[in-house]
Amino acid sequence: MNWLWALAAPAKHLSLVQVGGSGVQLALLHFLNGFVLSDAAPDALLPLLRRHVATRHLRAYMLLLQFGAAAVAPERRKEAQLQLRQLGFLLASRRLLTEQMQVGLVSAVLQDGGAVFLTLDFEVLAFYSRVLLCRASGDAGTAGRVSSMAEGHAEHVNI
Amino acid sequence: MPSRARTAASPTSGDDSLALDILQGVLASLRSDACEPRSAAARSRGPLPLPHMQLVLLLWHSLSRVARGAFIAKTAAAICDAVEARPGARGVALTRLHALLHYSLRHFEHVPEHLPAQFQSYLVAAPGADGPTSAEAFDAGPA
Repeated sequence: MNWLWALAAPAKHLSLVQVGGSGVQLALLHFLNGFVLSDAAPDALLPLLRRHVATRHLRAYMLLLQFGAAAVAPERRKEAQLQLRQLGFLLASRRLLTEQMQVGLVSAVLQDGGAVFLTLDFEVLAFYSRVLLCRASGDAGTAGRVSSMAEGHAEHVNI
Repeated sequence: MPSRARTAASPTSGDDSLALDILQGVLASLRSDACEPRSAAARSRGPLPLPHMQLVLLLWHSLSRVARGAFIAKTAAAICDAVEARPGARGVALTRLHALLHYSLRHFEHVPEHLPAQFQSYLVAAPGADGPTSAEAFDAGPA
């Protein structure tokens, strides 16, 4: 993700050096959510992101979702968890995950049987929910049944 | 998922294959638990968390009428299999299948008003909250 670090250069108030240590992850999350994926980001950035987001990034995100919050200081844990949630919401709602990545995401869970889906870590389940509900809302055949719920996520997650 | 399972669960091409795969997998697990309640997998399964089951139900609601109907038929078949495997037996797993069947028959046409709101409230709950209590598990909730 070197291109991301290059993009980070102009955002001087997000000093990664000052944050240091385990806080670097949190600064990166702030940068991704607040600059790269926010509504204020340049329009041209989204197609670029779609081209560059890869399965390895999704795997890294899933690991962060499960273990990332525990790796930061307790006083910043809640913030880290919120930022991770926000990143998941943006990844799903901005349609940054290809069909292949979405299929891989679900297949990985279903490999050990469907019951695994009933025992997922809650934060992981929430991410799956956002991906699946965004899929459902994008389908003309199902839009009437669940789209309002998928759209409603934006308001709540951004709070 | 095996292509055979996907074909059997996909009566219309407009349905999301991922949603169908998840529903198929969940139903297979519940059926397995009901048929073999003493298996290690069934015994280790505690109360089913409500948000997890709510997502399953929302996925079901997102399917076409034909696919929803097919899921109901499969649920009924799973109940029959479990009863045949263990005549006269009762158990949590069988009750779960009954609850699933009851819900899907009762809410076949419309998503219950409380379901999306309740599910969203879990999604936006403060981090660190333990989620639903055991009393809010699917087994204890309204069918």
